[in-house]
Amino acid sequence: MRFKLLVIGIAIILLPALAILTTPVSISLAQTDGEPIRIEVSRHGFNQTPGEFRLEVEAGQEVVITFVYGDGDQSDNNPHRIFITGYNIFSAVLDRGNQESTVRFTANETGEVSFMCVLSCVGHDNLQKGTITIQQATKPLEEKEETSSALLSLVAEQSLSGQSLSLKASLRNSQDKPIVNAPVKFLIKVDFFTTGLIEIGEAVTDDEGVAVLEYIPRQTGDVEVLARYKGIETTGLVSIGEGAKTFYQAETGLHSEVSWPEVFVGPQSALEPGEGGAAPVIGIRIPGGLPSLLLLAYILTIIMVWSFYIRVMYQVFRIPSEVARGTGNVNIRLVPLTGMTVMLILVTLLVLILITGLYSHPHILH
Amino acid sequence: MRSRAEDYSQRLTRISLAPLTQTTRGFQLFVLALLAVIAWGAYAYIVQLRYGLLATGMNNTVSWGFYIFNFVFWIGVSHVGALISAILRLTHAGWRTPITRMGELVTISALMIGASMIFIDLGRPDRVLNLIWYGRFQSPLIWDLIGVTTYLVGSVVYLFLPSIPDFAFMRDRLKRGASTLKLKIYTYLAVGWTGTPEQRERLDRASHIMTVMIIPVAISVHTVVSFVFAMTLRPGWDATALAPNFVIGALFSGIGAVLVVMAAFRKFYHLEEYITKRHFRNMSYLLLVLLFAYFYFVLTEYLTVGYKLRIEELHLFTLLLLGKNALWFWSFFISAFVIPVFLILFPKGPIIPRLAVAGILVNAGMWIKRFVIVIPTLQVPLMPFEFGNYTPTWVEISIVAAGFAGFTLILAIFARIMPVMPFVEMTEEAETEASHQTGMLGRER
Repeated sequence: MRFKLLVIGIAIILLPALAILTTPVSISLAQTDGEPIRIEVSRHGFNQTPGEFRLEVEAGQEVVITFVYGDGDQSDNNPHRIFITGYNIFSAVLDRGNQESTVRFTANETGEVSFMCVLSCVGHDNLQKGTITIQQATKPLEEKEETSSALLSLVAEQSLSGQSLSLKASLRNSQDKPIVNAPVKFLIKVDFFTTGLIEIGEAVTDDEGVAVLEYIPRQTGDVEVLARYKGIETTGLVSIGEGAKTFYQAETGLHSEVSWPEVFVGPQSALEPGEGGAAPVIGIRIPGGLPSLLLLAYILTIIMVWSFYIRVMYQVFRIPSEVARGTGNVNIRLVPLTGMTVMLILVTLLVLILITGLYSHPHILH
Repeated sequence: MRSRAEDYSQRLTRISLAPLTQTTRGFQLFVLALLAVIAWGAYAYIVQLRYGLLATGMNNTVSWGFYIFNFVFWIGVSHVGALISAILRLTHAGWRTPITRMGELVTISALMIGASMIFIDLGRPDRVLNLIWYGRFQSPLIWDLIGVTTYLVGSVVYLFLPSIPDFAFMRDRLKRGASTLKLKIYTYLAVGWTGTPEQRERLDRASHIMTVMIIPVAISVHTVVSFVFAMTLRPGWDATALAPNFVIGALFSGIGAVLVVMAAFRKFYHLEEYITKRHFRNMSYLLLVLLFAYFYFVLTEYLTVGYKLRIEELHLFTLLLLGKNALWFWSFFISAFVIPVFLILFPKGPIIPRLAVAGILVNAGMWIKRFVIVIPTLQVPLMPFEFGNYTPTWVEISIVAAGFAGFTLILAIFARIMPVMPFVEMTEEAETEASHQTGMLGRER
């Protein structure tokens, strides 16, 4: 009796283990995003596994499976065609003439989908229990890439202050494959009361995994540039030389295609900085484009107001009567005459300020 | 009736010309006191020239101080000339005539002091030339330069035009034995005026043009002054309605200033017959309307910003309403709004001193408001730094005090060379009224 109980107990313990041991091998394959999984399809089952065959992937991954014809050792052709339920995907027919077929899909929902051979082939029953288990993603994709030690490298070139410079950051995963559509931040180290990093922009990687940021440096000397993608950073030095133009281009304002020929009157030196980067000499320049329209409207308004002033003073100038003109040695028209002269000088000066100021210089507005 | 009009005319002439011909000891002492304050301010400015802006309380965080908010204050006060003279002239408000000249004098004096504040604010005044050589069309500072220059010249012309008949009267009066210099000056300024119909037509035409022109010019000046602030992204300044807010605030303080000047000239130049309680009452109505209008702007400004309360605005509001600037803010509120409303609406006590006090309080309140606009905003850091601090030094206080003394002195000097009331125009109006009444009596008979 005791022996029977012992046997039954051992059997209870061992049966599941035995059941596990006798169950056809279930192979779990780690899926790397975008990397194809090769599964041999033969009369003996998937990868020679006659029972259930399991494949585990994470939600959000692109699953790429290459089915490979595995009955090449047989003299007779034994064609297979694999169907993946849930995604309604068929592989191509695998036979002697077509040894491989690749399918791909994005595992968008957690759960299980089956795959099986849909042709009446030899060993058909062995090819009916393929299962793809789609699990919850354990880590965001980017983090996973970080942990898989993605590589970020920065390519910076020499430049001149005030001129556009391309900063390129290349982002690749551990398999040295480019990571596409990844946002890379660019920062520079600056001294402004204290030393710190200032973000200068962000660019997204292209199909080659390269993010390019166009940047106009304002400073000179060796500038430390840093590219950052999540936790990964890389630095580089850019040598920025003294630019030909000491002033930077204002980037504010509306960009308009509307333009017309600019007006320039003055020496050529009005278009270049003076010695040692000093301000250029004065020249009259009204650039083409929308801002000039505002300037012209402003100038016209000023001229209109001051014209009225001068007109008023002219009325005063005409006041003296014949009787009053004989007032001693005093020029009774001196006040209105002086008034008109001062007004003319002032309005000329104000208008000249507007059209000869830095606005008129090419490095401010093009 | 005619003899009554002549009496009126003679009396008016005598009273109007008295300050031009008589110098009392009190006036001399008053001018000496003003000159002393100005001299002390000049000394303070020399100290500032020697040490630069280090002599002031301004620093790299609060880089605008007493000078700039006084600039805004004086430009605001200057608006009153355009309002009293031009708007009331356009609307044919007959009661305005005796006080127009005072408004115009306040305008010119305030503009001169206000413009000087900009130059004083420069640590290197020689660099003011950079505005001319390198001024940028995109800069609101250039708009200010152009606006203030245009308004100052326009105001001088606007003051000059209605004064021509007065100057002519002075010229004719002085022909009977006055110093040659005075006679020459008045002869120049009178531009040969004899009062012929043709001359009157020309003067009227010129006056009408200037009356219409000076209003938009005045509004544009305070608009561009507000743009100096509103074109930035700083809390408190980054407001859409800052320009109308500035314009209304300017008119508000300007009316208050004229009330004070009216009361002072009335008292010291014995103008009781011409500047009557009616003028004060009408001016108080204008003051009240502008008080409520300005209150409306202040309320909407703080309500709309405070409702959203971005982080930098939160800092500013805390500074203003509860923090270290709360005393300034609430002083402005009580001085500019609360007490003047009671003084105007509840007629307890004599009207003229009451309204003069209201005018002084409004100006004190608006002076503080300019502090509230300029300084606390700069104290709020835009980067993770400490809050800024600003305490004016004796140099700044002395120079600003000299500005107030200078304003009063310019007024006093103007009052010595030209009548503070357009007495020729007033005489003509009185004669016209008398002839109308005579005509009506004749028809009745």
